[in-house]
Amino acid sequence: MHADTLKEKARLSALSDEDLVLKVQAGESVCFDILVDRYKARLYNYLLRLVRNEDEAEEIAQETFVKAFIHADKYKTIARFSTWLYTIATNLVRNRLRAKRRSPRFVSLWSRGADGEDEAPSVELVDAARRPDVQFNDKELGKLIDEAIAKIPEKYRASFVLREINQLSYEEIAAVTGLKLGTVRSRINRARHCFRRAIEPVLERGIDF
Amino acid sequence: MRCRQAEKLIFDYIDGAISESDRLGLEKHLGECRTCEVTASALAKSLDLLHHLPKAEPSENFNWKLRLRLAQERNAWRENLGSERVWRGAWRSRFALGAFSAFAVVLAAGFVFLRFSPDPSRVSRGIDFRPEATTETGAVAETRGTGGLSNPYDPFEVRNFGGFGPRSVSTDAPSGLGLGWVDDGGLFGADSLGFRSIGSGRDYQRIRQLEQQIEILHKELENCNLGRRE
Repeated sequence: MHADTLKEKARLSALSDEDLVLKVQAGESVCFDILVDRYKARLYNYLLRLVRNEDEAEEIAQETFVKAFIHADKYKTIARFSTWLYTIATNLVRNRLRAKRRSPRFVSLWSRGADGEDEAPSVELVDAARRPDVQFNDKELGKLIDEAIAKIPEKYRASFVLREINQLSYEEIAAVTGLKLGTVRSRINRARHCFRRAIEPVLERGIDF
Repeated sequence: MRCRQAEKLIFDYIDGAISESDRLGLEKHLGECRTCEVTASALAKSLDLLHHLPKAEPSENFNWKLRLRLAQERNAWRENLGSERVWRGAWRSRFALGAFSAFAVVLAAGFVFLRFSPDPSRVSRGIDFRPEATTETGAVAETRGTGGLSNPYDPFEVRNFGGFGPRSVSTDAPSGLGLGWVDDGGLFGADSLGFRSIGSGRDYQRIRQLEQQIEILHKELENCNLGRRE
């Protein structure tokens, strides 16, 4: 019985995203689990670059999958499933950012520790990349890259991340963001310049890859 | 090749969407222009860095939390389905009510328009040509007054209630022309000559012409009377 289930899962895993969604539409919710496994990491990474908060990124990723599942019947195979998923996620992020802008909250600069005591904020006053004594490991480098991405204006960031990290085509990005192809191109190019300027200190250190 | 053009081609180069001729042109330009060469190199290196970005993983219980959430959403959706139906019904009945109200308003507006719109025949007949107001010259006597018009200066009042207005307005024009003056001498008219109310400059000009004709007729009549007396 268990072997049969595994066999069935392996068979379904070989199907394309679009075929799996069609099966979800037909009521085979098992296929949705396969789609979740396929996209959760990619979607989470994309959202993490946009919102810069792990909990929020995971929450939005879950919300995206919930919406995708509930509205699976609205999906049409004219677009790729990944494009559709990223579109839902991008819209959710956009709505959240809009809501945040509308109702700015006062957030404590002091985060609460596990024991309930206030902890000092972990603000780095000196740019680590400019300090010659700092040797980068992968984790630190990743952090610096993340910071450089965060310096890209919100307006350009989604297109940039979709292109440079998630490797989507310009046409797919245009579909996800609802922008014209020319606008997508110019936004990505501007974002590339912003990123270059932000990461320049790291490059000046002459990192060997 | 100019730097601006080269910059655009650098991005095409990065995307791998550059033609052979453009590539050769760009490479030639980069060999000559130090600024563009530095920019291209920095861009390529910075974007290469992105490959070193560590992949973040969602929490281990991501799938479990998602399943829980889906179950909750499904239940909430089922619960909302009933109330949604009620709302949909209310919305439909509200739409019907709105449509009916709009129809009633249009009907009432039509009725008001028909009831109070000026009737040309009535207007022309409405001018006060009372015999006692006639002078010995044969013209209509002076019986000026606003006669019920709350504001004689208001052209709309005259226009809107043109059917009733002329009764209270005197005229010294010969009968049949149907011209009238309100108290202040402002023009007002409704006649059988084709205009119903005064409002446009064209009407006004026409009335001025008719006034002049009337004046001529008056003079002629006066001359005749004088001749008869003599």
